[in-house]
Amino acid sequence: MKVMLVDDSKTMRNIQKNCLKPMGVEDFVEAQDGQDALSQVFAANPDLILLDWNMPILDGMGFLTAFRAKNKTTPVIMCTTEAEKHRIVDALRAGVNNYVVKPFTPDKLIEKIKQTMEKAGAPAAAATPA
Amino acid sequence: MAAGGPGGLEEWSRRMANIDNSRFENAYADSIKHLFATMLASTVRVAPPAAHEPRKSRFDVSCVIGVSGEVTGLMVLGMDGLTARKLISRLAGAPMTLEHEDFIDAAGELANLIAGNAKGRFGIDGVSISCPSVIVNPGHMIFRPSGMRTVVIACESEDGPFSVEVTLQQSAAGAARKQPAASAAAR
Repeated sequence: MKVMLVDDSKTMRNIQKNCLKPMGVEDFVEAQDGQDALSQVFAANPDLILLDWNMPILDGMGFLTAFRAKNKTTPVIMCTTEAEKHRIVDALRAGVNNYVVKPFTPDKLIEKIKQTMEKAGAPAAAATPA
Repeated sequence: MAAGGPGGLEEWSRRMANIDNSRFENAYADSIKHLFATMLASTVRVAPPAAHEPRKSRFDVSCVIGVSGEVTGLMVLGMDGLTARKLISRLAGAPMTLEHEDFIDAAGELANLIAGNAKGRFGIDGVSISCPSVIVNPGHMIFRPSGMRTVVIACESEDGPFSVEVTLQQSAAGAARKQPAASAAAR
């Protein structure tokens, strides 16, 4: 499974990688803002995108709108400190498949990824801990 | 200007004492506990918000995040160098020195996790937080806007002491919007 990590914090991307590696995920594409992600995502063709909301240049919602105009199927999980209900509703309406509020535990992130991949009909092995 | 007269120190103190920011300030205390219970997998003792004593506030590392919208002000996460090194290594999952190329990013993310989660606990919409600014300099002080109350939340972690200082006020527009709902509830 190839996962794209979109977050302006390298520390957060590393934390997410450390959560995903025990699941057997080794293939990562990293982007530091929405614009950077848009420039890579169609060539990289990831199986899953973890997307931060607040980023410079182009935020997560800006990326999502542009991405969903061309791709309706690749699962996107919004991973953000934004926890207000209306924010979650806005993100779901814009096309995210799931939502993780930071800070999270590794178990919570893995659970949401499994849930998302299962709903998307992705191969179970891709979301099974190694 | 007389100390007790209009605009004097006593009046100012009375005005500050009457401002009830406790739900916002407590949101930061709860957010710190949540961060330690989740991503840091570590214990922390968090004291109730207390009056800020500027002369005692000196840090080696501080992370500043602005708050705007319905509530305005700032949050300062302040630490000594040793605590910062240990705490930020814990978050990053790798040893970090103050000179490490990723130290500033990790310190900023630590503050962002506290401020972002606290904002979600305010119970009101229309609040934004800024990107973090990180200052690394032994014994520095942070000066805040005058006329705003600051509280300090003293914390004791496995990695050493640190504090979160919160300077907040509800914006005039936010307070005005709150008024009709409070009146309706009273009826």
